[in-house]
Amino acid sequence: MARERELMKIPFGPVHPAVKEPVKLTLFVDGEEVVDASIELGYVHRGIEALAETRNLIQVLHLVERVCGICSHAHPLCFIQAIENIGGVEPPERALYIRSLVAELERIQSHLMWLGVMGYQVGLVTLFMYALRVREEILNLLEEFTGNRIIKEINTIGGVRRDLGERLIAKMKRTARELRRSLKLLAEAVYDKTLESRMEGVGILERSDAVELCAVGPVARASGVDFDVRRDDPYAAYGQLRGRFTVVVRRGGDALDRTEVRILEVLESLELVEAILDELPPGEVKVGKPLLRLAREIPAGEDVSRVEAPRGELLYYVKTDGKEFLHRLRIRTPTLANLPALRVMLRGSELADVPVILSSIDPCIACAERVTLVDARRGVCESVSLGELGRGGR
Amino acid sequence: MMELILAASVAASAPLVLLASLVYEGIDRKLRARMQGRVGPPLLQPFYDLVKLFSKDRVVPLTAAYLLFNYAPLLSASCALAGGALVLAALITGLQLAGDLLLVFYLLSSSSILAMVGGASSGNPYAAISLSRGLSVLLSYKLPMLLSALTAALKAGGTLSLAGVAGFQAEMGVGIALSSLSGALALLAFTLCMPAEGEVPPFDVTTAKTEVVHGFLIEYGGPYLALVKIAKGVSRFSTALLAAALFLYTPASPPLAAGLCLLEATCMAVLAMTMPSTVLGRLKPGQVVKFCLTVPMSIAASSLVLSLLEAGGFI
Repeated sequence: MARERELMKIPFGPVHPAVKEPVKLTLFVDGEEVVDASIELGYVHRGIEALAETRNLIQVLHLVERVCGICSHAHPLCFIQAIENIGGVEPPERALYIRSLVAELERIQSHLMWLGVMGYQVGLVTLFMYALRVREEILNLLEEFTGNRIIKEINTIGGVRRDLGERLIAKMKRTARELRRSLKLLAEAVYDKTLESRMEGVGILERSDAVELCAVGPVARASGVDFDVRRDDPYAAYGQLRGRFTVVVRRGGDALDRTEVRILEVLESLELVEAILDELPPGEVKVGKPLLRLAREIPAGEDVSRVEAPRGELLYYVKTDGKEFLHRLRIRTPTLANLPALRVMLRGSELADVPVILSSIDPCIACAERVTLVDARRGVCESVSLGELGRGGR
Repeated sequence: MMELILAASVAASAPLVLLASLVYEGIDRKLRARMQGRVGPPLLQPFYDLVKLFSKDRVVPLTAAYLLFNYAPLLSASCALAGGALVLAALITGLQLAGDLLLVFYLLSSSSILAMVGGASSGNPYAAISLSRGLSVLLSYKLPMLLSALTAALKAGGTLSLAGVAGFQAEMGVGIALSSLSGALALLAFTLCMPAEGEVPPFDVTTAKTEVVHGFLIEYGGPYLALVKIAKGVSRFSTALLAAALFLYTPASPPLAAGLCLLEATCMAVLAMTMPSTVLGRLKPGQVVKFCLTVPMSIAASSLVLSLLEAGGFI
């Protein structure tokens, strides 16, 4: 006979050492077993989409650069592709290669940071320190090239803002070689017995669930979904680089597989960086017209653009009004796509596994924020539909 | 008269143990930082931390059971200090007190339990989970530890007094761990359990920051936190000191031997607690219990059987 079990409700956040950004997970636990979980967003909503509708295209380009501190190249790249598509602007080939180069460097630093955080979650602070030190090499390269470590501001309508010099190309190649050696050390740390035992068989996401819940990026690829925007819908220079990288896919769908996918992706990204540096075509890095005129010439239109950000498929819907401004900007970040899958992973896990599972999707909460209306007196949470938003209220 | 001397030496040893445990904590933090490629805090940081914590206000949550929450840290620190001081006093004076080996175990266990119960009395759900985790882990590592200590007692002629075990090693001219296989095995089992006693990775499930938000420490702050930190630091060091006294006692005149034991204890603590906490991740509570009840337990049990066979003259 089924027994009514007393479930303990444990708040996991909005402020919790395991989540670096405010998100509220409510865990329903029976002893140490997590029976169910609910996820609430809305603590750091910044209203970027609404703000974008009051700014001109060039201002929005700088605004979307600030959606995420880690994917600060993926967002403007995705946005600028949509704008260029609407305006029929074709950036020179060298610019496309440079966009891919920065995207790959960004992927490496993001995955290294994630690896460190994963180590921290399971109490291995040493891995965190080492991973962040290796990541520093990439940030130094980015700083030397773009002038900034995090907010890179390299994209512009019709190309990129800076060109790569010979000296920097040589330095990047050298760093890529050195990084391979450091990565081997980090990978050995991951295959340590304690770490492996913490991740193996933890937070399993079946392929069918991954497909049904629209999981993206390394989370989906670790569950056997063979999809990568870079290969399946090439943008920037990935069409020409198709033979130079493979998409890493694993079938197990547990936290260890997600870790493996990311580590191998860093190696693939290093391959890509070297390939791009070898094949970098000569020529200009942006179209000849001044930026303001280019922005003014963008007609009214709409477009959907997507890129493979470090966390997975990033999708932008852009609608321009033909007068330098936007009618609508809609951002679907990879974390938002992966959150429904998180709930499936959490069900049936142990309380001790929660930080590991949460980290294994590499959540980036601030980018994924959505408005939820909470009526505290009635205790009801409601979402606002797009139609209501368009009418400006209920 | 004897009791008076012993009581006085225990009282005098308590500050010494506290001092030694803080010095070890300073070394531990510095070493760990260097191994991770950081500069690390100054050696005296644990002292500064305590001064700062004691100068803060006391905060008691509304949901807490006041008496328990208020006094458990003090009792926990006292138990740990008494346990450590008992070991050091026995080493310094060489005076035998029947059964003090078991008393030390009792005091150190009480210190751990009091700290956890006090924290759990705050009414915080994380502290409650930490308590339930802590109790199961405590049972799983105390048993092999006690068995290996009993091996040492058995080899020293069946005495349960610390000074007796130390005196036996002084007579033999060499530590128990170095003189026989069963002694070495007992030390190994004891050492494997030390990270659990010290609540450091891979066994820090009760105070895991990312899982239970520091567990039973979550509601403690200011002087309360200082006391619990003292209790933890002292029992960490006392366990290492106990291992040094039971298994690696170096024959010398008592005060000098006590000094040597303090040095050995620091080295052992670095090897058995600082190193694993740097290179290993945290296990899950179930994994900790399973490990303690299989690996150290079987080693300790076999060392006890071996020593029984040796005592019976079979080997």
